[in-house]
Amino acid sequence: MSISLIDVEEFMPINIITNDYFGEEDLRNSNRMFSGTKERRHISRDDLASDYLASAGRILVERLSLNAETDIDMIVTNVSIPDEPFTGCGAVVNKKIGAKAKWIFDVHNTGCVSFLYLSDLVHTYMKAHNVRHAMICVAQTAGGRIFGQSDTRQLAQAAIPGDGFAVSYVTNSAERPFLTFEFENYPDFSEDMKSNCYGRHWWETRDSTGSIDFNENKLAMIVSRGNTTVPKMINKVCNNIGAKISDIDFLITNQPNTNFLRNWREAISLPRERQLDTFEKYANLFGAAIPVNLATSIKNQTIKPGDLICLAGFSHACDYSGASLIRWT
Amino acid sequence: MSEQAQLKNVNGLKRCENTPKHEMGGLMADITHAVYPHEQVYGDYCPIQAYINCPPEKIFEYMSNPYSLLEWTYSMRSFVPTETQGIFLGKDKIGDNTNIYFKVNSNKEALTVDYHCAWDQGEDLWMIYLNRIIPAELVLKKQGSIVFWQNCRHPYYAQNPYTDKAPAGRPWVGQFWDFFYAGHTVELDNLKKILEYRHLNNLPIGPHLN
Repeated sequence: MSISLIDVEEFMPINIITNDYFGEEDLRNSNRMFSGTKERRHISRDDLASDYLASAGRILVERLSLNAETDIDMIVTNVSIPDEPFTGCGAVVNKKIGAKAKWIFDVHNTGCVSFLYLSDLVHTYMKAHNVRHAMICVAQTAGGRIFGQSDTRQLAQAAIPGDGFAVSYVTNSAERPFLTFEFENYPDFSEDMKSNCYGRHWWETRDSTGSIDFNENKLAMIVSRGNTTVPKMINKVCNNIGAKISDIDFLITNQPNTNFLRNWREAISLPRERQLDTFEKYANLFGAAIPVNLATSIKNQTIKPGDLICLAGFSHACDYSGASLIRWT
Repeated sequence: MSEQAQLKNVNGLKRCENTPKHEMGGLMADITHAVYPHEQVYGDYCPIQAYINCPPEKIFEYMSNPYSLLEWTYSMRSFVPTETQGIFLGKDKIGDNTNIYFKVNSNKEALTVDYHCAWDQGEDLWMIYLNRIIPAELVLKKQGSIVFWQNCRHPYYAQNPYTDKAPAGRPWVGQFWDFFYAGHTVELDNLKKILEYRHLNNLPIGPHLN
């Protein structure tokens, strides 16, 4: 029994934001942690993650000639800045695509590697509950919702997040299986990325939008964690299936900045053209990066049948990391 | 200070007065990679170090005695003094029939022990092994010592200027430069094992070979 990735569709907001939209130009140009992008997409004020996810889901239903009522048993989501604080959007997606999925999970952790964690979660339900097919929905919404606000967009760091959405259709079959998963959680690093509302809690009345901050004083440690853990996870998944690092045809990771992208490909001696990212065009897509880049690379036919694709990354300030391998068939 | 000597005339300095912290942070992240090619780390310098659970004074006493090299090096053997005071002649078993000349320059106050060596001739001791012993109490807040061992890639490693004195067909020492990190790591581990064994068992520190 396997979980197979049948199809994946990305859905990007139409609102293209160029670098000049953001403040602190000197800082953006002088600090390489904030550079490397040309554009990113932002969702608009009234846009809902559930609408984007449902749009991508409907495209999959049509492309795969699915019966939405019977061919989707499970919907799992990760939305970085959720549509609603109390209720997840999985049930809303279920409604909007006309599905009748029985199992819905709206997962709020594992950010940048949520696509892998959600895939493993679905795999578990396939084994435990005979789930046959599922939609894995990943939404990055912090761009428009936080870093598109008039005060927050003045920060150099606001140029880095971009919004994007992707939905994958997976089945319990051997058609195109995830070959292996590896995950780790680092409890000690679980509080190093937080909302920053300048002395207010995020749920309290305040005068400013606030932002999401790393602990700047831990920058060196976070860089080191990412540099260490992602290559480690890539090695683990390769070992799991008896593959060599050099067998990897394409690497797709989350895309926090150009330094991490460079460091990860260097760590596995991967030529630049074998690393598939959209950082320049879409910026940091957080959890959506892996499925969006996968969908983009399938559409533009970079990925070809027989290719071994490694998916890997870490989330937040490195509270979770994970990797997987898929042989594209 | 003369006008010309002022820092503002030195191009490319990164100091907090001209490089704000945010710019420095980006620069740091850019310089920091996940992995580094061997050549980049050990290209022209071969720095290694080890913690040794033995007091600095004992390590100095041991390392500054030329005969200790008989014990902890992989291949330096059969030492005899030469006519020149302080310079010894031995065999380096890495090379076939290879003479190695060396002297020990040490400074008890600074806890430095430098070995100046050369293959085949003793007039120009250009292969220099620099060692500094640090009390671990100072830097790691624990007993024992750290030994820093450095080599620099002298141009003679690339080209032997004394080929007339070399045995025919013998590989040149410079051909092993890319193994210096590995070879020295093994030898430093030998040094650590010998010193820790003798110190922790209250034995005379040696060397006991001559």
